[in-house]
Amino acid sequence: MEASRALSPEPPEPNAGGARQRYALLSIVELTATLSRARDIHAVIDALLLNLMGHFGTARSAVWLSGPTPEAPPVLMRRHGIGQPLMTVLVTTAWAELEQKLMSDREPVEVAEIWEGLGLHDRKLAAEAGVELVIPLRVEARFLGVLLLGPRLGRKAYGGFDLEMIQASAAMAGLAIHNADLQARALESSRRQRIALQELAKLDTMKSEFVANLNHELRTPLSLVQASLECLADAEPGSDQARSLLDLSQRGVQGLSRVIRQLLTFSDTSRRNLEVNASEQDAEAFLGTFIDERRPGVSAGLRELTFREPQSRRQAIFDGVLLNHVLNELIDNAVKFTAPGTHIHVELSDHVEHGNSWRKIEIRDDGPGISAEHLPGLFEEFRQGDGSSTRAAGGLGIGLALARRLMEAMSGRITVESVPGEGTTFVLFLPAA
Amino acid sequence: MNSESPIAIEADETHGRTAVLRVRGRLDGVTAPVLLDHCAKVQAEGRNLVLNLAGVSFMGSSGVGALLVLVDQFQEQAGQVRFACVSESARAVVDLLDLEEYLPIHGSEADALLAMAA
Repeated sequence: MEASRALSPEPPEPNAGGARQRYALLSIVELTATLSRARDIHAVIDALLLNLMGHFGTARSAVWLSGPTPEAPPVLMRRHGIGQPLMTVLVTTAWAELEQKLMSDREPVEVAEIWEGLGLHDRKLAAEAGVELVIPLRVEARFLGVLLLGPRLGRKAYGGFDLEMIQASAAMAGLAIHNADLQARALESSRRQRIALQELAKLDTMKSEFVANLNHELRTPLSLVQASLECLADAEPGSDQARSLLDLSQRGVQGLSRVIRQLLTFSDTSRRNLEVNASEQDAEAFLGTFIDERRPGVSAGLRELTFREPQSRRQAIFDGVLLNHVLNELIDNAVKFTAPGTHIHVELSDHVEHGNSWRKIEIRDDGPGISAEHLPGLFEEFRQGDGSSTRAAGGLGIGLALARRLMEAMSGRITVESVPGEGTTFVLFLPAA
Repeated sequence: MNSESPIAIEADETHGRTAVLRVRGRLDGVTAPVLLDHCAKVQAEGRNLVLNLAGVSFMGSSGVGALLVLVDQFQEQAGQVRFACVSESARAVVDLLDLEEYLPIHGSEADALLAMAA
């Protein structure tokens, strides 16, 4: 607006011979300055319509732009005082023909000519719509849309100079629309690239942490086995020291075996070639056996594992191997992320939801809990309860992701609730038989 | 009106169903959409509008376009907009374009409010 400010220290002189020419010049300058500042397509169109309406003294105008794809219908961007019937006719019946005619003529066309050229002879409709000129909006050979202008107030006609000026304004606006569109696409593309880069960086970090964790999870038991066997070579056969070293190496082998089994199962679920053998089974008996097997190990870590039997006995549909894996993951987690003295309680019950019957297994601990911000990503791969793959508790960060996949493979699901300071409850839903 | 905005719009809400907006500064391609935004809020509340243009130092084509849009928009929703105390420079443009009979212009806010009530 600096240019128009400099050119307009005084208002135009009414009825003076040069006043109209000066006003026309100011209008063009004003439009140029406004378009140069318009940041989006709507601002460009607002600038064009307000300027032309004010300059020519018409209360009616509109802009339609071609749809975003060749198949998409044109889009009404702005409308001032122009009725919808003409719009509908132009859009639904004659947009392609309109484009063809306007792009061949490349200048403003009186609507009556367009009307008849398109085989539309309902002049009453044209009058009702209140459009007098149809002007193409284009950039080079590309048709962008149309600008419609209504009759000038006071029954003045658009003269030759007026049409030249409208054409020049439309050309500037066409270029501005094109530039605004390019800028908008560039900004959107930049935004998507930024998000993609953030995701890539996140994945890269997760990959690095996973490799570091894997290294640790394999190296620790391996070192244990190696050191035990080295010492065993020097120990007296059958002595207490030899037995102790054998126990140590056995624990190391079990640790290695657990990590490798977890990785192989996870790999199987990733490749979607997991074999599922689900059948109707007694969930209570299954859980009872599982708890009996796990209780000694949990107790050894000074945590208490209890199991409440259900009031009713109903069969559930599951794969024992997979459910065993899921339960082991959850119990291992409960031990890993809680302090000695924690109570881990398992409960089996019936659950009906939206008419579907489930067997519900709750694994509840009274440990430190998980903060609400970390709950949503808990079942993601390579994540642990604090939102990162911490080394504080160890593990690969695939246990819960694997549990979710295995539950889904059995047509079940897993959820979690947690209150920091009070504890965490994982809930497994198995289809009831 | 600050150094960044070449227009200032002051609202007078003491006239019941009619809002009075007093405009000061330039009314051009940059500021006309700002004025329309203010007026759209009045229209959205179903109220009539008196626009005091005494403080308009310059009115370009887009400013005139905005006034024509306002008349059309308020009429379309059975409302009224009237212009009062139009500054000399703005009046010169209206006269140049022979638009006085299409823009309801009054010498004072009181006259505009009176005409609104009639």
